[in-house]
Amino acid sequence: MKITSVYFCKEVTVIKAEALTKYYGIVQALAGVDLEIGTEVFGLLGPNGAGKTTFIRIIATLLPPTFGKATVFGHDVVHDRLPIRKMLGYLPQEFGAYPKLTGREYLEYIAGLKGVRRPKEQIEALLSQFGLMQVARRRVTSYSGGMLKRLGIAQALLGNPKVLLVDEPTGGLDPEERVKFREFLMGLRGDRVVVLSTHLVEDVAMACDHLAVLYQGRIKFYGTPRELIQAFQGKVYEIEVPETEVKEKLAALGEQVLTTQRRDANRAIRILGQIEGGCPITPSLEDAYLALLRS
Amino acid sequence: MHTLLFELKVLRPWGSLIIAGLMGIIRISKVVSPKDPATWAGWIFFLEFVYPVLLPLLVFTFLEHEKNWRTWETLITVPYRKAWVLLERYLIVVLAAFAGVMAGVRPQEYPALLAPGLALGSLALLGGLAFGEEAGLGISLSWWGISFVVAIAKPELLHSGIANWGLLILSASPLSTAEIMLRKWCHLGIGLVFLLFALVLAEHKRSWT
Repeated sequence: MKITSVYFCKEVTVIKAEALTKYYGIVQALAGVDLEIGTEVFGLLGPNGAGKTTFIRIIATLLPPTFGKATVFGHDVVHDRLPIRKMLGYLPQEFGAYPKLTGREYLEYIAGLKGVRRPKEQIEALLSQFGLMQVARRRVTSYSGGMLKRLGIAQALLGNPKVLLVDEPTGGLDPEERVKFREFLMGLRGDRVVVLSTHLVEDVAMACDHLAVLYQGRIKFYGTPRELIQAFQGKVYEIEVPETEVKEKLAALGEQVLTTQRRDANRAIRILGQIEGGCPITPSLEDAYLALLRS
Repeated sequence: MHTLLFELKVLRPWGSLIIAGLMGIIRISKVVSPKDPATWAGWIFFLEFVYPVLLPLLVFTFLEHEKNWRTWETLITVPYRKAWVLLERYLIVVLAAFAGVMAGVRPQEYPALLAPGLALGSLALLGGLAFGEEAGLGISLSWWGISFVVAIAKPELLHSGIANWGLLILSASPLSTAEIMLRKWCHLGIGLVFLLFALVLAEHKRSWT
């Protein structure tokens, strides 16, 4: 749902992408993305393989674009990488830490490399904030997936970066940790930009001011979560069918089906478009997102 | 210094480091002081023929760890320091490998001991960063392998200037000790140049994927 050819976010543009295109061999991962992101928590939503990680990696100066241009605070991601890296906090999708260091040692190590002033205060605060104080003396190799992710977020925040790029940060976190993390992201609003790449709609719903839906390397929607919901207001219907008929019904409805939910002996099926016996509902963000991908 | 301590912890081959350190100490304190290398024929053979392989293998190990631990990408946010990280790790393994055997070598032969290992190790590092750690090890071991085969099977080839400057194992060559030492210094210099290139490349290498 394209509103304009370029997607503007806020008055202060921090990240700007112009016709950003990336090919891996003959595979096109990004197809001319135009996007402007200001000082806010911004969600990059899309299914696996949509090009989210490629976009994040280009902004993080890890990948050069094939065509197009991207800047961070006016610095080009190809020709002017160093100033970008200096203001960057980055949590890669597959975060790894040195397994033989303890959690605290790892943060001290990264803080040392980043040249963080008064690292101890920051490290203590981050360990406490992310619930790692109890395991700070344990080697990273003994950490669970969730602990490792939290350590990754903590290292990304060392040095108080102006640009924070987090790629699928809530994967591997349990529900309670996810909620805490989203709350934490919301608390980061201010003079920095946080780009959250995720395929989880609830992350964006709770934490982000604006979002862009990336699909097959293109931006399919840009706006606020509310705007995405409004775009499908009156277009999502729900019917309830007995469990015994669900299989047949789903097969008949095919691509129209958005979500299903069990209700006692019945199943509530939400679909895109009108259906006989169905009633219009206010879509959730997930419904709207799925409807967008189907449309 | 701060990061050096962490690099020691990252590598953490405590047993090897302690043994290497002890060997270095007994040599520096002159508890052991080798005089006549001719009496240690097997030892010299080992140092000349086998020992240089140790460094590319160690370099391969730490590069592979870096890749498997998926830690390199995170270092994108520490500009100017990736090369430093790599240099510290490399120096740790070079010094440990050197200290481990220096007790059995006379000081005047230290360059001859270090040169082939440093050349191979630095090439493995440069090749590893440029083309992947397997390729780096492969290129490095190929150089050593050709040197080994020529020294064992065709030492007469070492009469040629190209061979005796380009190959690493020269004990079977007809060259004088002084000539051999000159070539070893040259190999040492090549090793340092490779290391320099590797460090420059480390700054530019963004990711392993």
